[in-house]
Amino acid sequence: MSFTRRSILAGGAAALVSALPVRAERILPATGPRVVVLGGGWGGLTAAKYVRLLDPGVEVVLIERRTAFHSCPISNWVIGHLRTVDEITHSYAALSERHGIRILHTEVEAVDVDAKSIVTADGVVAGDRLILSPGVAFDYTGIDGWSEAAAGRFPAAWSPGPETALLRARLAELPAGGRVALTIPPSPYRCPPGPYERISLIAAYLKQHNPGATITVLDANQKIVSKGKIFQAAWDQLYPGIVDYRPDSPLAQVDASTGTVSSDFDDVAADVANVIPSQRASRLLHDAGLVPDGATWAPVDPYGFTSTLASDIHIVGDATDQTTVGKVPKSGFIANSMGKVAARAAVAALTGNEAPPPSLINTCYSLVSPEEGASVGAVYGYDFETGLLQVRPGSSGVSSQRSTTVALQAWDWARAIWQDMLG
Amino acid sequence: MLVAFALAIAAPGPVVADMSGDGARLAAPCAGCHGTAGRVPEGSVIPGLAGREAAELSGLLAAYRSGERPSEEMGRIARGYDDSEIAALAEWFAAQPPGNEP
Repeated sequence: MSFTRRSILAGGAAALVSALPVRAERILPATGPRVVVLGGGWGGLTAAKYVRLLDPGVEVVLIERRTAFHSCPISNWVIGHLRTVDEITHSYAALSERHGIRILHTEVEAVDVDAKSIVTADGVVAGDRLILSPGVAFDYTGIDGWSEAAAGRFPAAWSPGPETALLRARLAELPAGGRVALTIPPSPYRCPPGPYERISLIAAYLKQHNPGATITVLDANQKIVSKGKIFQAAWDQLYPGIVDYRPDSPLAQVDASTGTVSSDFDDVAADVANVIPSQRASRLLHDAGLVPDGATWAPVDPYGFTSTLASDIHIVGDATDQTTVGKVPKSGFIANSMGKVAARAAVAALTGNEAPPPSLINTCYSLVSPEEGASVGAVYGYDFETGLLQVRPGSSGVSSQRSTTVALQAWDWARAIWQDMLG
Repeated sequence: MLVAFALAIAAPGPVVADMSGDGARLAAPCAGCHGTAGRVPEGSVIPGLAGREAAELSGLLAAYRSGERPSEEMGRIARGYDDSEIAALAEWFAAQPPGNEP
């Protein structure tokens, strides 16, 4: 029997789930207890490796479209010409060679919640438990004038890949004294300080390479979402006259022919424009019924990051609903921490043990210039009364000022956490 | 197309001593900066933790927590753990084989 992607898509999501078990071929039969991990990003990689560290008797199949890992954290450094694309691109090979994880690089069509399987272009991979880490989808609805031409003119570069290189190149090609525009979506979005780090590193690049050039920011939020005092001070002191920051200015309209981004009040015509769009849980989770109708993110019980809408399915990373998790940021560090908690919960369930309560950390490093940075972070435990993660008292904090120490640590943080996921 | 489909014959993985206890559970997120099982990549300005004396590590965490030893990151993180958790963390890292991860 065979199936084609086309026939499945034509049938729509509802028909898909009922039609698939008979049409789609099962591949990679399990030889023992198995966890199938969807998504080779921060949450999924960590979960895959830690399941194997916790119990080498549990098989892990990791399904990921890309054949190399591209890091989202540090991608702003690439856009700002501080690091290269190669330096944020890493191999998945050690996960199979060193940890015995089966890696399947293929397109994912659907998550079959009832069969606990992932439907891929190559066939159906089933497991005893699923750990889903599919990340975010971009949502351009509500932006007047959005079109295919607009997508080319206003790259997001909010998932690392070709758009990262594109934005980097466009910055270098900016006319002398030209104008960059950047728009920030309403929170929550992936990486709260990310847009502000990007603004800072673009400003630093302009200051050095293109005197007279400026960057105008339309921020949908009322104020800088993360490390506000640090970023504002850096812009005032390091980049006077370069950064024009406008809060409370949601993107309402674009015009690809003129390169203009507009809020309800301002039109900003720019030579280079970066639209960071609104975000929501991956379409795969919506289609699988793991996001309630009308909702944006996937609800989970953070004790083991199990879906509240299906059994034996864990969801980690940026796709999870903060109102059900607790006030953790959508950061790579948190996704790494979530992956470990989910791995522990999955292995406990497969071996008939009770999972211990979760313990997580977040630390987010941001550069404000090529030489200086700041960090924010906290330790989180599980609150049995509310069923949410809660900051351990006294453990939440942000740098009091920018420093060179943090900038040095930031790079070695990235090296360490890449190793923790991929090494 | 199936690509890079590895046989599940694993070369020996990194030696992580005891993944089961409370120390392992608490220490897992520390790897985000200090590397898996406290082994940092070579040349890191962030120190490795694997195989260091438990008394040294618990002393450092207590000093970070009280502010006696200044560090923005470690000050706030150390305040997230009580005495018994600090002891469990220190003992677990002390039991890990020292070295660097590749």
